[in-house]
Amino acid sequence: MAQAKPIVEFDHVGKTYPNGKQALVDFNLKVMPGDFVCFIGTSGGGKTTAMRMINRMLDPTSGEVKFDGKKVADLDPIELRRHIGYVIQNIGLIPHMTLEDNICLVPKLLKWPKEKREARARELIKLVEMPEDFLSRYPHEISGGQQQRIGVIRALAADQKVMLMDEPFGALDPLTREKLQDLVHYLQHDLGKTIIMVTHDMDEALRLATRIVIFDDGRIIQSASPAEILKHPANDFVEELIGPDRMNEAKVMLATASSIMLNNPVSTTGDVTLGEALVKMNNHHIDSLIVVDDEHRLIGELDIGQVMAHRNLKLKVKNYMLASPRSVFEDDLLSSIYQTIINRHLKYMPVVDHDHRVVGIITRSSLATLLCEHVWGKADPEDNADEGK
Amino acid sequence: MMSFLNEYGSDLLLKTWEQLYISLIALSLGIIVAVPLGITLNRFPRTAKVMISISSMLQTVPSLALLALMIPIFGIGKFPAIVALFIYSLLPILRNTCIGMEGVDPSLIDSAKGMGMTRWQVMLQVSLPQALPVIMAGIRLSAVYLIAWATLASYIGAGGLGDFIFNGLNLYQPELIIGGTIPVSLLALLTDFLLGRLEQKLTPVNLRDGGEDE
Ligand SMILES: Nc1ncnc2c1ncn2[C@@H]1O[C@H](COP(=O)(O)OP(=O)(O)OP(=O)(O)O)[C@@H](O)[C@H]1O
Ligand SMILES: [Mg+2]
Repeated sequence: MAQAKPIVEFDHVGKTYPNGKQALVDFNLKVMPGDFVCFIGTSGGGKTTAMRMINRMLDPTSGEVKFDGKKVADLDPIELRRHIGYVIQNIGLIPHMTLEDNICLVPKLLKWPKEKREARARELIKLVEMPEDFLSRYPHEISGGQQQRIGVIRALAADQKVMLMDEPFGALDPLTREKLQDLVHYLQHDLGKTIIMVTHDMDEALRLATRIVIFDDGRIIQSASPAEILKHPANDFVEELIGPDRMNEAKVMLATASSIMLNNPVSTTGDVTLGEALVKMNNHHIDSLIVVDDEHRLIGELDIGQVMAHRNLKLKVKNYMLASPRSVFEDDLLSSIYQTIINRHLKYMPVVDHDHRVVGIITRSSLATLLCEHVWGKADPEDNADEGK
Repeated sequence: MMSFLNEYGSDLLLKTWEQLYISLIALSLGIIVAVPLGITLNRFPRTAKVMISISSMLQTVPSLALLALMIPIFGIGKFPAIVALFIYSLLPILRNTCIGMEGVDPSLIDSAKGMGMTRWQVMLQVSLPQALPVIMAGIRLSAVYLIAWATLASYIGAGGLGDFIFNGLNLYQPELIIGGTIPVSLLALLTDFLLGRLEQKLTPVNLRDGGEDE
């Protein structure tokens, strides 16, 4: 995190088109290396305009755009563009060039030697899981999804660190789109590319972005992480853009552990006997107990299996309990808790405060109730009525 | 028929060659001028419009009149005929070059530019190959016209198959008229066919239909 410098920076940028249209007004934004920034907002909001200023496909009418600390206005646009990947919705593969020639377009412009270019093409086509002999095919000989995959790898063939994408997956079917989202996520998350992407798809933005920039009428309405935007939409416009379904889901997924936990979980201290613990389990119809110390701090767990294994009901719990189960803090979000419980097949997780004192419990079945309520809550009542018949 | 060939055979070959020669020189000049002009005009759409209307106007001057106009300027013979035919060849080639360049998918050009190709690289490596079939169609059309019109060049002393036809008309010898006309048609058809093949070859892979050419 130390001394990170923005890779792309908008400094009070304005753009007024010759016809008088103010497409961007006092636009400020810093994009850090490795960020995945999604531009989203109303049509005509200025997203494309802003993006095209980064590689000087457009020049601002006021303010400065900086790339890697340098004002782009001082850079040669041709040279600049060769160092920034560019992907558009219509793919833009050159139809009379083979995939290999398309992929190697920028490396060739940069005068890479032939062997290096060929090696790069093979490496990249492997990255998108296409056979090497596709390299000699022409764009019209492969599917739209495959074409856009080539479009994406073409944009990083010369090892561009920053990639600009203008609604790159807008024209693709949902399944293909998801695959390509995985690809660009990999590029950013694992290869460290900085990606700036215009999209109309809020799910796509929420899924991929580290930062979402919401545009309306040439201005930034909100610029924040997906969680932050879901939790605190800046205004009604943003809320509307997110949509009631996602807001609803967000309310559930962004709920804290303390707001959804069951209070007063059944617990025991370590000093009681296995017999006493067994009675307690029986009374509460449960098969395990949280073990706490005198100050109610989580120290372990006693499972019915332990009791059965030892049979000697006079033994002390503290000597035969299991290690502390995985716990969550009271301010952890359901979105992460949910993943853990589901993926690790946990029956429950104790909720603790930051001193590790047990304050509640989230069980697998309480999770089910919660999700069920959520689904019920958003479902159309008439649908329910139909199902009832 | 045989007697016609016996009498005029060698003359016929010579005149056919003259006809071809005049038209092809005029056509080559037309290509050399109109294609680069059309490509350049692609950047200046307004000038392009003006240029196209000028050459359309030239096109409407009756061919005989244009040929006659050449006499006071260039005298008579092959040279003025070539100049006149060259002027005629300009419009179809220029117009098709402009249309072809204009018709290239703008997003293709945008992405090529966005990747850092210079204007010339975009023009020569992206737009021109895509526009080539349309340009070729213009050249083909021009070629067929020129071969037909070159007949009139005989009128200003340029030779060619027109000599046969005009002689036939003057002397009222139908076999001379027919003997001149048939080679003109054959020449035009052959040129059309050959240029058609070339056009197919030059059509970029994505625009070919069927495509079992190679
Ligand atoms: N070349 C241009 N000349 C004049 N006005 C333009 C030009 N390009 C864009 N605009 C206008 O500027 C505004 C912003 O356009 P821009 O393309 O940046 O919007 P956008 O957010 O990308 O929209 P969309 O989501 O529809 O792609 C729009 O009102 C548009 O009509
Ligand atoms: Mg746009």
